[in-house]
Amino acid sequence: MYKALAFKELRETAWIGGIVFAAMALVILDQIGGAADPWRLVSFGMLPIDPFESRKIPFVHPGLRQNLAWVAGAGGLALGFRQVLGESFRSTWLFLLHRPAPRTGIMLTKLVVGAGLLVAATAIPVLILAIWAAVPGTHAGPFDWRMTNAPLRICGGATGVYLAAFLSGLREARWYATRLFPLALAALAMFWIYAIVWWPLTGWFVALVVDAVYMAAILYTTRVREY
Amino acid sequence: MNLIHPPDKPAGVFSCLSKRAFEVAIRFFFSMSMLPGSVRAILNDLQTPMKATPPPFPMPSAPAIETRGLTKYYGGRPVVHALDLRIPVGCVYGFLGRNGAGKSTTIRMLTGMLHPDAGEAILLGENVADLAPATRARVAYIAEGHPLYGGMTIDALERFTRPFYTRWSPSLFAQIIDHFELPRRKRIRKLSNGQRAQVSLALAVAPDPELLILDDPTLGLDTVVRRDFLESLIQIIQREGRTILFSSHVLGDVERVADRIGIMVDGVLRVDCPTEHFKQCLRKVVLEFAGTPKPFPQMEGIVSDRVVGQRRELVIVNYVDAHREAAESLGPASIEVVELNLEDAFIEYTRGPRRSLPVFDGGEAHVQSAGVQGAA
Repeated sequence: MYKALAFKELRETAWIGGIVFAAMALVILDQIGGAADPWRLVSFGMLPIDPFESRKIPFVHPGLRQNLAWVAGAGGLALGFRQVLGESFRSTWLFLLHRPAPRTGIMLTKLVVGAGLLVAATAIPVLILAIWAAVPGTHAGPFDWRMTNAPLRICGGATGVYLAAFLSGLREARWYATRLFPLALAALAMFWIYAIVWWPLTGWFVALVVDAVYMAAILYTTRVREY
Repeated sequence: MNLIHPPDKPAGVFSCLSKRAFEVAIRFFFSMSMLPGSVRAILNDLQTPMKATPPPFPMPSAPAIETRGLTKYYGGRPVVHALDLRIPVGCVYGFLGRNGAGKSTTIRMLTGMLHPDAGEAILLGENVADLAPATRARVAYIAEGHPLYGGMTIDALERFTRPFYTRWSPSLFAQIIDHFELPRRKRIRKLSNGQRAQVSLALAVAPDPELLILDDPTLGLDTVVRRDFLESLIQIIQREGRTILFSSHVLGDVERVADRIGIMVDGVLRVDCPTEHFKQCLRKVVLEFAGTPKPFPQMEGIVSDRVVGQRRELVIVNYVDAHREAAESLGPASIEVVELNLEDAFIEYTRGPRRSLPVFDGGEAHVQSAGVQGAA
């Protein structure tokens, strides 16, 4: 039954995963040098040209982490809200939660699918870039697998944004009051993960703590909220 | 226990059983207890209604639905107040009330979608707060408006729902879908309201539930689809002895289907009795006067009292000799005691002091609203 639920979730959110993946493909192509800077693409060329445009070194040029943080964060937001508000707007919580399965199981399935999709859509392009960069002769620059740590941390950190969006959607507080509070905290955590590059372990630690706290909060809210 | 309270009286204060009915019950009890055991057993068997097919589910003594002091507040106001409900196994229970009376809130508490502020609800012997998935599988719930996943086809919806149930009957599901001639490959969002209701019914019935809780399942359906829906409901479910609780605003549907009704008024269960009993208990008494109608004395059981021109119209629960004598003492030109159908009885019983706007025709006709005077 969880398989059926996972398929249903995947069917409903695959398009968001697809958009995130496509955006990430642009970011990666930009790093490889096969496409224009995505921000210049989005702004129809109105942004000034990056003087280092032609000399980007994958995993060294800050554009990767910056674009990755935006794309993964936006993807996390969209996925989290879609999974919760989609049920709320259609009143399908009443249908879904009456299925004979523990509510915790239903929510965990949703979370696993959502977080898995986000991580897959963001981390797979990063790994593709890493594999490309690891092949000698592809670019004029150094590469070490440890250089993937920072981008992958951002992918992991984006799950915090996803869980925060999920929790914000699930909580029945006012939108202009405390409902978006989890998102504010997740944004701070994401900034920490993005900015603190000199002590990588803290980034993973923050990501794990944020995820654990939000998972616990989601499961608690699932139990106490009314549908 | 049968209960009908005047609408302004809290539950538990006034029993619907009239004194006469109570005396009859007592006499019957004693006459039965005088008979030898074997004769009593035969008589009991004779009194048991015959069924075409034996019920597939065991008939436990515990009720299918039981609530004890179930209460829910919204904004400090009790939307459901100290609800004590007991629906026996095999009963088709019509749950009635005006908009905002607390029906849907009660149903959502029964299914665990809302948490009661006080009291508890028990489904099939298990507290709703700790309802095990296995028990939930025995309970079907159709929520108001038939919320389903609009992006799925009927086939996809079946594939999604089926793995949750061990007793899912694909053939029954297919039968219902085919009976309603529903397009299996059409997305739910492209179906009409009636078709969505039919899909909901198929999904609810296919897992072979013992208890069905339907929140206004015919809301928004046209007359033909509604009739079709109800007939299917009766054929598919009732014959197998399942318990059904359904709320509705269509009294004709309730009258056709329900063995027993409950009426919520402002969050309080005022009526809980067999459908026929409710109709029998309520009488409309029309006193025609030559001049200005005289005031009717305050008495037990008066639900409403209003003056329409030279007529005084009273709605009385458990119309007895005392009411008749009081009416005669006013010296009216005529006294008419009218039996009400369920819809009229429900309207008279629940509409309270605020009535629809009177229609004035040439200044002759006028309606005065005396409001509810239910002294009990």
